[in-house]
This record gives sequence, C-alpha cells and structure tokens, in this order.
Amino acid sequence: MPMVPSGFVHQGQLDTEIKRAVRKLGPEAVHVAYSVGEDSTGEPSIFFRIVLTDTAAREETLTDITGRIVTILFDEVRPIENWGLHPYFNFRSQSEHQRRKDPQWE
Amino acid sequence: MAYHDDLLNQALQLVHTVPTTQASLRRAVSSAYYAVFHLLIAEATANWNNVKLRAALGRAYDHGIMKTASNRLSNTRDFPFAGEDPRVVASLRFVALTFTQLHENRNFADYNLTKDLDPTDALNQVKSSEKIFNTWPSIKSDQITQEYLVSLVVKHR
Repeated sequence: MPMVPSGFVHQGQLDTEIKRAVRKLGPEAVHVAYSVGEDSTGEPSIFFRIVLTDTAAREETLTDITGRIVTILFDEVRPIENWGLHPYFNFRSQSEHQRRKDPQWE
Repeated sequence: MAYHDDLLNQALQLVHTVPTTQASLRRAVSSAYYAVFHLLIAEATANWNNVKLRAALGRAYDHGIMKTASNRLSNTRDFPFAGEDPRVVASLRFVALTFTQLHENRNFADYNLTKDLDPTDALNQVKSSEKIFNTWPSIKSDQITQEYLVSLVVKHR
C-alpha cells in the first residue's frame, strides 16, 4: 500500500483521471502503471511506469516520444496542482517488459 | 571543455557501452545527473564577476535545495509565468522537471540494487540530460531562467 499523508489522495478519482489521460497517449505507449508513495527525499509523489513499443524505444525517437508522453500526463492529470504529488516517469521497452515480468509494471 | 560537458560525454559513452552492464548503466545515469547539476551551477556562478571565486561559490549549492526549487517551478499555480514567452516557459519547466527526475534516478542508480536498471530508462535519462544541454542556450538569458538559477541556491522559507 502506498505511504502518503492520510486523506491526501482520493485513489478512485485519481485512477479515473489517469485512465482518461492514458487514452490520449497514442500507440507508442503500450501500458501505463503507476503508484503513489514518497520519493527519496520524502516528498509525496506519483511514479508512472510506462511500457513503450520497441520501435518507440529506439534511440532516434526515444526522447521525443517520452517527452510527449510526459507532457500529456503532466497537463492532463496535473499531479502537482490537483493532487499534491510530484510526478516521476520511468520507461521500459515492450521486450524488456515481457522479459522481466515485474508485478509493479503490470 | 567544461567539466559538465565532460560528464555528459561520459554518460553518453557509458550508456552505449557494449556489452551492457548494470555498472555502466548506473554510472551513466549518475553522470547524467551530475552533468546537469554542474551545468546549472556553472551557469549560476557565471554571473559572479570574480572569475577565480566562481568554483568556491559553487560549493554553496545543495542537491536538496536545488531539487526543491525545481519542484516548485513545476507548479503552474505558484509559477504561472503569465505574459512570458510560452516556448521559454515550456523549456524551463522541462529543465526543472528533468532535473528532479534525474535526482531521483541518480539515487536509485547509486544506491538501490534491489532491481535492475532498465537500459531504455537509462538511455532516456542520459538523452534527456543531453536535451537540457541543447535547450539551455536558447533560454539562459531570459529573466525567468535567471530567477530559476537564483532560486537554486536560496533555501525556501
């Protein structure tokens, strides 16, 4: 269970907002998982874990695509302003995702 | 070549090392963070007229204060930047958000061995820091960028 200040986040509303934003990400984002917790300095945070197609994860396109995904999630969810959560974004290719079978990314 | 440029080059070399190892990926992410850390300090202290004292002044910068300042700038309510050039605002927010991301990932890369660091994630961190270096010249002279540089050394009260 994420450790956040009591009453800080309404998980159902947050989940709805994120699912709405994810629909706008486009075909490069195969899957998006997230969790709420504290970052390394104790700040309330939301950690997005985004699986990209292998094509999108190529070096030539990677920063453009991850930048666009970050902008959409940042602008649509407004994690800082609406939820008091600082956002972090981590990316993995689809082939890495299938190889690792990490529950946190499911 | 400046120290921060060397660090970025080192990060790019490490993230492309073959065969890929956790050591090279983790050192790449760490170097990418420190490249941006020292770039921002160098840009801030460049405003100090006495060139010989800039390195000593740079010792005043603190990772935590720089992260807090960058976090605050990402808040569009506290920092709406009304009337400013939207391209400059977007670039500055990218720098601030990426700095906090690199700070967190550097912490993972250096200390957290419970999970492997993904090659894609490491590459994205390094390329994002490179993007800051490429973006910086176009925004460094703007007043809001200079205010951001000052905020990096001032503890928020």
